[in-house]
Amino acid sequence: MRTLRLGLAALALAACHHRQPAPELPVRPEQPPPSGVQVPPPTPPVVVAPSPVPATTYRLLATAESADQVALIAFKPCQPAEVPPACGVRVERTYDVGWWPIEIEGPHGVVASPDGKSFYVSIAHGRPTGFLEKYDLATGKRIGRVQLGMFPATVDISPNGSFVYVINFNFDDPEMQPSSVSVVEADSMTEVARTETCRMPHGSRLNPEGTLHYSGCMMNDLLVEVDARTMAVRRLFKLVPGAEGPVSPAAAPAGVSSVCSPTWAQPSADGSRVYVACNKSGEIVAVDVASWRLVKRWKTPAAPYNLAVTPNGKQLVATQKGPGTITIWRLSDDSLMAQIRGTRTVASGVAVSRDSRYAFVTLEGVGGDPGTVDIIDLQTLQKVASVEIGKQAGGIWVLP
Amino acid sequence: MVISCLLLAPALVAQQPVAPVAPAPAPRIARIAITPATLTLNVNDTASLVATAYDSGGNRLVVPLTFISFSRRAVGVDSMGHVTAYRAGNQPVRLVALNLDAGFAMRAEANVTVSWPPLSRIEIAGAPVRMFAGTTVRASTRVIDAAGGERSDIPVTWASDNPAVATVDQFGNVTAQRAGVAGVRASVGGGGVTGRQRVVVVANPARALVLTASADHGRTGDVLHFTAVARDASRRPIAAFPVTYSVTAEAFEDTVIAPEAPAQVAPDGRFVAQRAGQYTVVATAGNLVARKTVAITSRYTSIRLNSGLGEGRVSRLHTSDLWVWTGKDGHDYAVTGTWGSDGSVFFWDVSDPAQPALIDSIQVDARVVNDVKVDVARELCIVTREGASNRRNGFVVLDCHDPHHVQMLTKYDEGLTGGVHNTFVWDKYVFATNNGTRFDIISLEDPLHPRRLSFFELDTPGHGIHDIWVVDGIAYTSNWADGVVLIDVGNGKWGGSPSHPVKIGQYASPGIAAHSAFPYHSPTGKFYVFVGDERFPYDLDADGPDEAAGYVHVVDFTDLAHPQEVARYEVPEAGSHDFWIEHDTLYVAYYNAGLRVVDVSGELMGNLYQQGRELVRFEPRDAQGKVPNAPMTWGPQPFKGLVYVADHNSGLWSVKLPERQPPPLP
Repeated sequence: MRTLRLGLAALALAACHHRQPAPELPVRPEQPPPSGVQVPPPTPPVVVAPSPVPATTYRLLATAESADQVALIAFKPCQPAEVPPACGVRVERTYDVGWWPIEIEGPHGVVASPDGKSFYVSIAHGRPTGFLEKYDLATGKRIGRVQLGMFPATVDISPNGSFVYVINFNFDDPEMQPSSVSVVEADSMTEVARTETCRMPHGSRLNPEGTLHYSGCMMNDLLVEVDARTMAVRRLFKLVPGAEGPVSPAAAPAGVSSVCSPTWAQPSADGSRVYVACNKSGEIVAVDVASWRLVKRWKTPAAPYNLAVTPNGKQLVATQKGPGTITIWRLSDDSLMAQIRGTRTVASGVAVSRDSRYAFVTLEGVGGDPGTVDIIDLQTLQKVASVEIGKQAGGIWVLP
Repeated sequence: MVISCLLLAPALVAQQPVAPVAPAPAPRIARIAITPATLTLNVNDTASLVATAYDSGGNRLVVPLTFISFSRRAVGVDSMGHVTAYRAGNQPVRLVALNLDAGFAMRAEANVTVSWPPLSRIEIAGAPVRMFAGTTVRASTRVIDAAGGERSDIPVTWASDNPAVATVDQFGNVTAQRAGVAGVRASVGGGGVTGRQRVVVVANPARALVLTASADHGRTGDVLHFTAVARDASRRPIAAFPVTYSVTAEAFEDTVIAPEAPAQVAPDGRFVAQRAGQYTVVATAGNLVARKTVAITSRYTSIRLNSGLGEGRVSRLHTSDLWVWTGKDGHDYAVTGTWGSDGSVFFWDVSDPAQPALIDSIQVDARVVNDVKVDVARELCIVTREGASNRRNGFVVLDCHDPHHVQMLTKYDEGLTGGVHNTFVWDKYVFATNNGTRFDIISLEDPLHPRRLSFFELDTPGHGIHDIWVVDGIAYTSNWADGVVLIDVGNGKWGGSPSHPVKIGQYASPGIAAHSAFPYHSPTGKFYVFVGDERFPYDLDADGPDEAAGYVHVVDFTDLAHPQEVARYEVPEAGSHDFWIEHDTLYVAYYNAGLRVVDVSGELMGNLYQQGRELVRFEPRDAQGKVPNAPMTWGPQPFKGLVYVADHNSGLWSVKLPERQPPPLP
């Protein structure tokens, strides 16, 4: 009977197999939610005096995808009596990356080694497959390069810096063939595994222990969990509204599905949940890791794109690409704390400082616009600084 | 339909057991041991590795260990330590066992050597079964292993079992000594595997060797054909008599001291000289020798132009490609793209070529407009997009019937999100490179509703495509290491059509980086395809002068099934980009070497640059350019007696070429 049910399920899914157009990440203005769905206004914040401005200089890396550059940015929050240039944000250095100088190769994701001595950047376009490159942070010299799959995009690094996990996004394949996550040994820059996951994987994030890797499948509506030890797919979770639930890897839907169209998978600070950005259905989905069950899904004011959580586990930050806005959510009750308009449109990547105080957001812009990095104080819920970098700012990472 | 199907499916899927997640506490691993530490396998063999972790007291730890291979396509290893050998190699493959929490620094390593299959046979080629006494021919070998693979890294030893009849040297040169029978053998490993060729040596009937040339005089770069015929005592020609050609040089032009090799002669007797002088070609056949001397004069001295005729300066942005055409209003126009900027496209009135006038511009959602093409008959402009803000690139169709007021008609990005780097418009079709992997054929019969008809893609590992050019329904695609590929996309002679492209030819050589191609039917009857490399060995500084590398290969495609690379045009310390050929003239945008105009008349052989075939050079320099005084020519187009050039660092140029006549033959 179970076999019959599975067979019928397979038939049902097979009947759905039809080619859908590639997902569009449109530049569209803010839209009201579909009728009947109420997006609650931000909950009034509990009035607590923010802690003093940290006397810290934060450093971060941000990619400029249409300039083939990575910017090293320094942000020193202004103390009460300080004014720029004694404080504020500036670009300390710009690294030229990529391998073919006369083409725009598209640096996409960026991470740094835990010792802060090197950084890794995915290069989306090659001949035709892309690369992961490694650079010395101090000298800017490229010290390694490995060829991966089609359109290497989002990147994460194991907590001890031994392995770099790179999603092969394969966004532009007209046939939308299933793609993979590459695992690169960081010292020798050798690809040691390439695990096939799904169609258009995006959002590469490890759990805090570095034992499990998560990504979303934009054209399969799945959340994929890969066991970092075996480098094999461990579990799948279907994200379609009303049809959420675990799916056996052996019974994974083969056809194209983009109802949720997940663009990011972000483990919580304690690893107990995974938050998924459902870009097409305009929601955030929370999945409990232990039970592999849906905890909650809630509407966002606009399509969420990338996610980040504060290390203290209290807040979730989401970029909303089209309108160029950033939403901040209180994780104790998954309520909206604030929606902030970015300096320009096409909000892209987001990273949070290790002290949970600041969110750093990249905004791509359009055409000849420079890319921008906005800095948001997560206590005052205000944008406190901005800096321009090369065109199409994308991936972002806070240095240790 | 999707939603209803997926609502049904979950109800039918059995509930899956919940897999527990147990994050491991940080282990106190002092060392990891792996057994065996070395393995030697044959292809397709399997084995198992066992890895164990120990603490500092030597106690075994129960912790999860991960296995990885540093050459997983040669040797694979799974999570249980099961090893599979896929590919032989001369170097051992490194396998590592580690604990993810402890990190890479704490690991054990094993080395796996995958042995080559045993050798199976040696095949000898080139040595004829029948040889004339006193003649020499070169033999070669193919060493084949038990898996059917060819081993090019195995040296062979040559020997003859009857040296009185035939000898063979260490290079495989077989010399017939006297009439009789001999066996020539090539062996490996002290005779473990041997190939044999029986050679019958017959008496040599040749009594004279007659050497003739297609001409007694020529210019540098002219290809002369030498033919040596061995004749018997009755003066009858002897068929298939082996002849070797060589050349000596005398009486160089006085200005040349210590030149490089000034001339070359091919095994089939084709001769070309790079320098003026007298050359004696020597033909050797057995113990017969014949000589013939020819006189070669200089061809051209390249003229360097100090200025162009006119310039359409673009100083704010980098310029990419160009296209020039005559509008239905009788005026001449040009369109140029931009690179690394804001998606601007510029339109020029070049009716007065001395004063190109910017008449309109349009901005598309892109950061690179790499290519611009014009359907002149229907006055449509096609511009490519890369770096679109919504990541849907494709191309844009513009109404260019009034280039003063260009209108956007439509954009097409379905399945072209990966960026269209180059296109070509032929008939009512747009041929668009897609995501660097293939090209798509899109019908523009209804310009408002483009429609994909088909696509063409190679199936070689790691294949890529850069450019496409279509002439008479044949597409010439530039495919980097896969060289140039010819496809019938509408010519029909080979059964191809826009809906059904058919591959008809291909040429690649080791090291080629095929970036652009242009076909040329020479009046000599030869069919050449010029294929240009693109290389940047010194990186590129977008804000400063640059130096590229690479050259133009000349491939003889007269026999489509057997293309041969016969010549090159290589400017030292610079790199080729786009080019155009018409009326026996090659126009090359040679990046930092500027525009080069080259005589490609007649048969081609050798390095056209060294032969004095270059007619004119022009290096566009503009102190107010995007990068001042730094030529970086992108593409040329001859038009109405002039040459228009797009320069990456300064904009659009028109160039008037001086009249050149070839020097008379002596």
